Amino acid sequence: MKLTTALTMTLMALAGTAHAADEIQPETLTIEEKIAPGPNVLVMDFGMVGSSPVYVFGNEDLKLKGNIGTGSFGQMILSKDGKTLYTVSAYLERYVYGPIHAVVHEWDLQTMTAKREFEINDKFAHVESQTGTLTLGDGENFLLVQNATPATSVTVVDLAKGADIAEIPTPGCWTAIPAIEGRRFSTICGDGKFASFTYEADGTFSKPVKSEQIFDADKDPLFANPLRVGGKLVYLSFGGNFHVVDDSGEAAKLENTVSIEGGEWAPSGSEVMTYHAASNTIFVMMHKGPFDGSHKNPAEEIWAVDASTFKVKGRSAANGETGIMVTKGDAPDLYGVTHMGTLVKYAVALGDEVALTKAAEREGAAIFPALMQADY
Amino acid sequence: MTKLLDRLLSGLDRMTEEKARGAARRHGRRSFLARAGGAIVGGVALAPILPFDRRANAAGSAAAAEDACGYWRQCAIDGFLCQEAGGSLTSCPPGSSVSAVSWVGTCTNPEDNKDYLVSYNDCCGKPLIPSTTFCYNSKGERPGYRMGLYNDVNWCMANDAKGYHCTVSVVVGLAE
Repeated sequence: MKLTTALTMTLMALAGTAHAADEIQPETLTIEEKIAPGPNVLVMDFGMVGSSPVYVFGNEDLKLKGNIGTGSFGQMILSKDGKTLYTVSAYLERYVYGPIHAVVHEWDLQTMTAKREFEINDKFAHVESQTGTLTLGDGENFLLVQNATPATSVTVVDLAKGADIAEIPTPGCWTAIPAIEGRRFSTICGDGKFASFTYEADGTFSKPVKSEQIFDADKDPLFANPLRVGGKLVYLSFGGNFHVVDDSGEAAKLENTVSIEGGEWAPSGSEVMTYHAASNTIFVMMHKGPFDGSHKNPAEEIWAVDASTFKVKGRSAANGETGIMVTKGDAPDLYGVTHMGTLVKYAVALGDEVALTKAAEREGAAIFPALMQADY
Repeated sequence: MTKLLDRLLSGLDRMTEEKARGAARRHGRRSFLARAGGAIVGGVALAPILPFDRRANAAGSAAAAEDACGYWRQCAIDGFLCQEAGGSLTSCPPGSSVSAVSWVGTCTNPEDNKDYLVSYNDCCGKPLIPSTTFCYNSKGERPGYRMGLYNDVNWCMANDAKGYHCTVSVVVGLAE
């Protein structure tokens, strides 16, 4: 090829490029400022090696809006206004070994960014995410964090200070359930009693105040995580017996025990029940043919129970859930996460009879969906 | 409850209480977890849970006898099998460490119909292997208020290397 020919072709090519550039608008790379509008359901994917991501799904079609990245063994709780997500998780310097750092994160749900983070003592329990192991106390001024080394204790975190201020020994006990008012919490213990504590902003705390016998951990153990129903706490036993506990006094007190009358059915799962206040209904995951060790079986049915009379007012087919959560308001949704990682949404028909109808599902919502929260 | 199980669990409770009290005195120090290692009864168990059909592995089901999770000594296991990860029923894979603490199950051997105490120890300090078999049975299991019977917690918690790798099932005594 002659030099002149080659030069001509090169110039023609450049001219073509310039012409094409004139015809398009270069795209601009941006970052979404916020998640898409609308109510949300949050699913924590418990991570043993690496992050425990919190996936945020829209309530209508379970479309993924984004996720939040915590560390390993994550625990979470959403503020009452639904705007702030608190998490505690662990960061191992070498992923699977090495020094460990326990970090509290305060996430803005809408922007999915950390508003603040700080370290607390590293004893927090590396346990399947559950409602009673990370709670908000005293008007959301304090975080209560369950520890296990395996010695059990509760770390009190002052959110105003952004620091842990106390570690309260709770030997043989589990969870930290805040009282409705004041700097108090109660915890369920293996001897069948409850222990209650008060704590102060200066980091001091009371001796435990033990209750009378409330349950028998050998014969009919309680699931550790209760519901707040009105001013009382409602626990459920492996055998299907509700235990109503008054935690308003210095010592917790058993008010009454009522059987769910399950016959050949019994409760099971991780987050085994959830409460809808507007209709005063407790939803319970149930399985048929219980045996020693079946208390974590996936749900075969979800029962609706009147929270005053404890009479069953509805039984609906389940989809193998290991956790359930109902939203607030007069027209709630009930969500379940299954042992296969699927997120299931149910429409709830309230009334004298309560029925659930599967409204949507999302397979592969999480690898190990351990806990749900919702902002509506 | 048998004497041996009593001894194992009371040892755990005692340690738990003593450690908690010590922890209170040493509030803010971050070395307690590491020091806790070695103080317990030896053995551990563990238990993360990943998707799997718990019904298929349910203790007592006929199908269970056909698979590794249905083997009698796995009646209360919650974890990935070390025997598929370079270890065995009673040995951790090379390069890992044995959990300093464990939880105990009471399982019946169908061959002699006797109950045995099984220590479920986690092996620690390496990544878990998702392709290995995950078993989740909960005979006699209790929530965290009976920590020595609890299988939803990372029993590598008391080791220097806290990453969960897999779980072994060691017969430690007769439950009679």
